[in-house]
Amino acid sequence: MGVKSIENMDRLYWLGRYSERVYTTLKLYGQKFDSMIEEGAGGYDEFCRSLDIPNHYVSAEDFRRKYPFSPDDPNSIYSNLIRAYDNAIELREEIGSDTLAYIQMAVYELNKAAASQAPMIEFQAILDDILAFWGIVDDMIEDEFTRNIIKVGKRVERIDLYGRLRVDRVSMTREVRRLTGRIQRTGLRYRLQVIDNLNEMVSQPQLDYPAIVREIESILL
Amino acid sequence: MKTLRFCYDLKIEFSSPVTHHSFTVKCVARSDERQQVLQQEIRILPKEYLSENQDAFGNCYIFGRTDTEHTLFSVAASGVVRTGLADSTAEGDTYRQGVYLAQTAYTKPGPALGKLFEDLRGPGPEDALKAGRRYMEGLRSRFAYVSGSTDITTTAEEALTQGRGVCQDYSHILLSLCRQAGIPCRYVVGMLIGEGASHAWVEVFHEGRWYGLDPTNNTDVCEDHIKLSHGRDYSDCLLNQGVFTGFAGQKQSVSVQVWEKEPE
Amino acid sequence: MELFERTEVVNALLARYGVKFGIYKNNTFHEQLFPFDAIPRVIDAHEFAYLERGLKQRVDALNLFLLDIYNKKHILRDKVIPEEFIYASSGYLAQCEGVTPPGSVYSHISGIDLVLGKDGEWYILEDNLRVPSGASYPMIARELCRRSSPRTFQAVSVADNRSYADLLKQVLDHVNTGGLTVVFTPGRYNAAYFEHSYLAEKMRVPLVTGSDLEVENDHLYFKDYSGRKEQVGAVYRRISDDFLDPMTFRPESLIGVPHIFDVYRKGNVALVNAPGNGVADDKGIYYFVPKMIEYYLKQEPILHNAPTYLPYYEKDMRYVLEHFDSLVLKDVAEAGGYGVVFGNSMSASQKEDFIRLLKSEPRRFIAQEVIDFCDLPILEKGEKVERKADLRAFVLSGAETVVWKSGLTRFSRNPDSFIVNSSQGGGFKDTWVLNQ
Repeated sequence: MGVKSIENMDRLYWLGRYSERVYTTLKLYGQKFDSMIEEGAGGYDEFCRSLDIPNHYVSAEDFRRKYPFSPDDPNSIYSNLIRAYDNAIELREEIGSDTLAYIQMAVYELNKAAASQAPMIEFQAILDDILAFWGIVDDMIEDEFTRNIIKVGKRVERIDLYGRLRVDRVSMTREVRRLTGRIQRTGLRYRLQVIDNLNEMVSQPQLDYPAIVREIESILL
Repeated sequence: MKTLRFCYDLKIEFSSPVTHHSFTVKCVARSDERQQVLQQEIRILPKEYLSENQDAFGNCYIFGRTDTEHTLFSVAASGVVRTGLADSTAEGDTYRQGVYLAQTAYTKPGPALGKLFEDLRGPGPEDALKAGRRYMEGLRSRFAYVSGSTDITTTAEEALTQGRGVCQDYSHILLSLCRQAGIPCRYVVGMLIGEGASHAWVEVFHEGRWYGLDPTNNTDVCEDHIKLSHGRDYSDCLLNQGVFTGFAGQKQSVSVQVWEKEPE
Repeated sequence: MELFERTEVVNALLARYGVKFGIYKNNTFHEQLFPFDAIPRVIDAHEFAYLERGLKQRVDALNLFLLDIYNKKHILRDKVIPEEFIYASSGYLAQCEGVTPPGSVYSHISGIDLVLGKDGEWYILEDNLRVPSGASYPMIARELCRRSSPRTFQAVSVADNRSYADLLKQVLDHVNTGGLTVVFTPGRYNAAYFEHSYLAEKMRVPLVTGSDLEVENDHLYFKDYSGRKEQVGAVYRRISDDFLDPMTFRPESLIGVPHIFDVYRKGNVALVNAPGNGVADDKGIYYFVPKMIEYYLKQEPILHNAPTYLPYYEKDMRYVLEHFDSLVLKDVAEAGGYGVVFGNSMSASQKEDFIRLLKSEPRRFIAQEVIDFCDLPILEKGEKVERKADLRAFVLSGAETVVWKSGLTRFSRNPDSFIVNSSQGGGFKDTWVLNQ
């Protein structure tokens, strides 16, 4: 299409970030959900700490309801998915109805999961939708900038989450490399120094996770 | 016939800086049969760009925008106009003046205007100009000039009910009366010798020509008047309008001076 | 037909693509699915050819009327329409006086609402010349029906309606004064936001809001992320006249573009549809459309209005008072199914009050015969039931006037209701124009 407003650049970027946030946190929550089947209460405190979100849940049951489904909890998976949707809905003409549909379907699935005794089934559908969303972004969006901005959003979010979750060096290094190659091809205004710093940080013997998180959060001008 | 000099100064002071300020100013005098503009200069500050255009009623206006932060917006217009060249201006066909016949939000009659119209109504058929003059005359004893007694949102009905107002209200009342009588008439904004601010009066359509009546001074419009714009009512003749970004209070001051030019 | 069994499938696909309309309930915004009924309204080629002739004729006359009213006013000079019907209409905008829009077209997209009477005649209910919406729904429904039931479309030869975006783009290109074409939406919380974004996608043009646009030096520009300004030549605006430009219309509008009307006056951008069209789709002016056709085109009207009376004329007032119980009365200032009352539904005292109002403000009302119109079958829980339905035909005017070979058929889900407006809870159907 050629021309792009600053608002749409922003929406594409955050669509990428929130789609990644929903994907990774939902996978983590799935693991937690599984272990809580026998263990019952407990353990969610550590979950919150690892994601750096406030633990305001009063019981395991409360956590099990609110963390994935609550519209009033700004850190819930639901809230993050709705943010992705809110960005996507205003990008129909930019990303295409077929692409938008996957985010729309993820919202329907999450609503179904909220009413289900076995939400893991719907969660799988949501993960499928997000994977398909990324796939169609790659496959169908002709405009290189549009495509790359979504992908940069996704990478930035992933580095941010990996930093908080303290994932291994190999995974972190891979994400930083991918971001480095991509961000130049977006038209986004970013700090070149941050890219240099991140590359430097992943080559250190000891990964300084809090510093990586601080660094990645300051990437955009 | 007179040769008049005028200065129109508008200043808007903002309590804190504003930006993205779009504005329209309608204080451009135009030559017609009654007046000839010999010289005119308008300065607007600050501005990013300025453009000129003609509105639906044939008035000239200037529009523009400024994106730089500012706390003062000013318009300074000045010029020389030869006035009193004719007592009226010609304007085409009656069937095209219907827009000036419909009452507007400002002129819509209520009980007070309805009654005044009945009181002042002529006994038999009469021409538009005579009728207009008689309504103007009738208004003199029934309405008092009290500055500050009304504001820019006051309707003719409201002003008449309280019995006092300023030139805007005099004009709206006269428009309402003429329109009740089926006479096309329009609101005029301009300047007058001896007034410190802008002035308003009325034009009535009579036999293919527009005649000016100044109800505030109960007189025909003469060589002391310089016309700037006309429309259906006050809202078509706003001297300035603006929208901007920023939370700021605004204080507006207008100063108008008109004086007769010494013969050279 | 196989298609009917697949209603659920089609509705699920419509949900997948977010085919919704927005609605405010208790001041909060909700997105609602627009229920789709798979039984189409079918119009054969012969009947459509007749409708096509009638609709083109009507829209051509309406465009000539708008050009005349805002310029030479010959129809007033010749006293075909009393001038108070023009100047007292809320749709008349004095600000548009003297404007000749690019290509001299005022109503580029006209949504003409019709019903089919039991007598087999089509009647025009209303002209929508401001921002008529609804074309996107049958457009995407057709796409999804073809996917759900290919055999149906193999068996029946239906004119393809998916080219609507191309027709619209041609109109916009025709009036474009140089530069980009954009769709201008008031934003995501507008009832028809789906349509705005879908049409932008299908036309491959940017969807913009007021903050993306800016006037500078007599032209309109789209502001790119990089600070570059790209000139805009045509704006398909889905924002009402009132909110278009705070410098000319409502000063409190935050969703408009300051000075967009000024550059339009200068002929430097096309606004589609043109501002001021409300003067031609007013319920009071409706009465005069057949007269416009005779006046401007010197032709007999092909399509008829529902029999309408103007209490403004003494003869009509007498008729209305004598036949009050068999008429429907409409307030000309109201829209969307509001301000409509049936004479026979009023109590004696209501009737008395209404007649008093009618006599004091005769210009405000029109009266119409209640048309006994054909119900259409819909599927409710697998059963066929009959419901009231109308048809919105879309007529596009650019280099030439064309009628889209489809339309939006809306139906009332309430068996007792005559009102088929989507804001009052109706559903929609596809409209098939057969190739023979």
